[in-house]
Amino acid sequence: MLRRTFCAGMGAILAIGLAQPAAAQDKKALTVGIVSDPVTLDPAQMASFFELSVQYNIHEPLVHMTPDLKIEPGLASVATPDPLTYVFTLKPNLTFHDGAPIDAAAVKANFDRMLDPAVGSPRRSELGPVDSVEVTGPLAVTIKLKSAYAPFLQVLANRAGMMVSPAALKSLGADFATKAVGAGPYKVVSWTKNSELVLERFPGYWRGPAPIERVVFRPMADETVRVTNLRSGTVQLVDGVPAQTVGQLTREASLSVKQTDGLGFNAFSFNTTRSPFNDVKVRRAFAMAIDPTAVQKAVYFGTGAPAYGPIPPSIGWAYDKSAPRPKADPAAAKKLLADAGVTAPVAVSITVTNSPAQVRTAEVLQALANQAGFKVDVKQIDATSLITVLRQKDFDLCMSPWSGRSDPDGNMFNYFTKTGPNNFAGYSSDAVTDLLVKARGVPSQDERAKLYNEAEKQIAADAPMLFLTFPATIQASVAGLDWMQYPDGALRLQFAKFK
Amino acid sequence: MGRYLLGRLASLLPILFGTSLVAFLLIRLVPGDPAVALLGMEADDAAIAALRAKLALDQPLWMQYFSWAAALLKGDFGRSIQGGREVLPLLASALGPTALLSAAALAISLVIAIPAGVIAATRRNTAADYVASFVALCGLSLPSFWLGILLILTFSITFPILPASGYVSPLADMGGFLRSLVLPALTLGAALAASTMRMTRASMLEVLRADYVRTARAKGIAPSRVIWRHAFGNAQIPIVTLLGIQMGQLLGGVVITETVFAWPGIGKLTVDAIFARDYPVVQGAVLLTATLFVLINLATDLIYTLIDPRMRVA
Repeated sequence: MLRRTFCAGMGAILAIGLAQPAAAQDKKALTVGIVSDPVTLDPAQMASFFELSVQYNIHEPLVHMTPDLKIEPGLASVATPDPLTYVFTLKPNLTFHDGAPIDAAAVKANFDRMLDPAVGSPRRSELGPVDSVEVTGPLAVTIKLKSAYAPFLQVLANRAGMMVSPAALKSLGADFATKAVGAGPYKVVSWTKNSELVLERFPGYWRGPAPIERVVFRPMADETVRVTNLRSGTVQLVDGVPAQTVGQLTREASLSVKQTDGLGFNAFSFNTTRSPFNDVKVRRAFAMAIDPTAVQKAVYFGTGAPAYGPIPPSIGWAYDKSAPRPKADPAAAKKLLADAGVTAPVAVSITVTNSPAQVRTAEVLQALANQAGFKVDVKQIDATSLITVLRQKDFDLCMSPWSGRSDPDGNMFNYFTKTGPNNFAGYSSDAVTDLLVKARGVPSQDERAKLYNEAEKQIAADAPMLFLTFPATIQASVAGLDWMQYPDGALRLQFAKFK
Repeated sequence: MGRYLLGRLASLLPILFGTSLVAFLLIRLVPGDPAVALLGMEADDAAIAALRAKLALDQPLWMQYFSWAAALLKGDFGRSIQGGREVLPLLASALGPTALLSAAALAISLVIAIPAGVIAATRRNTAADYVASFVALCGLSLPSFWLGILLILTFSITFPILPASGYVSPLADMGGFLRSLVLPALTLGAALAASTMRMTRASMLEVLRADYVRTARAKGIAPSRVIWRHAFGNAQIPIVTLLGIQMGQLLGGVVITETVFAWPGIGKLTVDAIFARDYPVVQGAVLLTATLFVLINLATDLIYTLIDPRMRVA
């Protein structure tokens, strides 16, 4: 009896399945497969890479960055009467998702909150050069800097420029992190952890209502699962497409794969504070043994570009096309080790997280370095321990990848200045620190490019880091979706529509 | 009976106390720090110190434990470090999908395993037995991420009749819920069915050798009645024990199936929380899972008394 009921039940389930084809395409709703749930929806508290895919859909920065990294007006237009003064003029009659007005007082309240040490916002250090934020009219805010800071507007086109409703902050309290009230093209309807983040378009968005009415973000940690869901039509857009599937997906007519140069780098930090990599000759010998194109081919299947410094080709004005691109030279590496007076093989360890791409990278490095007089041991750790290992300098050579920023300052200052928080190598060069500080204060882009390229040359000579590749941003959608890809990999779905 | 239940429930208290202590200490033994994990690569020391103070991580361990335990007694599980959600609703919202998936998977496993096990036992060493045993071995050996992806490829891409992933609340849309349930429940059910089938076969073989079965047969009772009523009726105890253990394990989370089908269950939640060193969530999840495990064991014991009157307590 029980069995018969159950069989009937299973039959019914299958019948329901057959009655409703799974892939019916609704032109007003978009489901997106993302790599991981965001941690928080509060831009003042965002610290992980995983908020990137959702942040610009809920929140709107004061100024907007175009796909070729130019700054355009956003919620506000900006004038810079002198390098230390930025005057923002808000567009009139704008509101947040809750209907509260976006006025000068609201903007000041946002900056005050991000700069308040008690809030503990990661934005505070990004806004480090800010001296004062003053309301200078109902829709005008004037920000004064302590010292000239050329990347300032790029910073404000990101999390530090995202305005949230001060009224909602007060009324929602600790729940603001999950309910976020901002000024972006979509507002939050509901967010079930690990399941779905549902957004609905905001009619009062300053560019006008977005073409797609409803957007659902679904976290799918596994890359195969993401791609399979796209192919089945369960989701129509996916982030983080694995490089090895690009070829196959490109051949499917119903799909569209987009890739562009990203902003970040895959690199390893040498520990310059202890033997053997405290000797620049040993570091250079290791670097000489490695061919970045080998890693690009073996690990990233030819996507992206080999890296010889921290500035990626996507930042065209600062990318040094003429920088030398040395091939691997194990013989020269061995000679340099002999010059350094160390006895080969030099035992070193490489620390990586236990993700397939990183382990593969470590194995390539191991194979190449072992041919050049090193004896490499690979240590695997989990992603959370990585930051601790790097900060405590408990490594010889440790992966320290960077998601990248749209200004070269964001890829260099924190990594190579003497007290930079990401200077895991313990690199201590007065020359490079001076160049990077100077580059912040020069308004001319050409001048800045020269300073950055000079710093890159010095960094290549001192080898505090081993640069491997500039990863590409690879995303894919159903062919019927028209959307814009940005180098930072962030999705800006106000520009998406179904054809 | 009432006193027995009360006694069993009272024995929960020391177990919970022990579990809370173990959960609290174990996650703190893992290297890594919740503040560092939350603030990421760019954080400076001042920001990390400020967050540690805010989370009271700078206090001595015993003080942290007592303030957590004191809040627990008031029903306050605290808030997640990652994202600030309240822990209890967060766990509850993840437990629902896991419980539904587990129940469906167990049901599927029973439908496959009981008939297969009984057939294998009654036709021991025949082709039917070998086929059933071989299929069970396959079910045990197929990794769920592989079987899951295979089912998605078949039923979502080649024959697009079921969604590839996702969870739909049965309260919102029953049809959608059932459709989203089929593939993950099959994936999980296949693995469970294998061990249940082996257990059914072994247990039935033992009972079929018993004197009363021979007597029943000798009396001329119909073979199906002998098998199902006389033999299977008495073969159920070890199967129920196994099911109880399986259910307890399932409610702790089925990380791989949850990951493949983007099923928002407690397994993925707990594993993510461990990786992020989200202490309040890990502690809450361990405590909740332990409680459920004990309660399911109790339920299993009660079911024994229904199957076998000799096991009834006064």
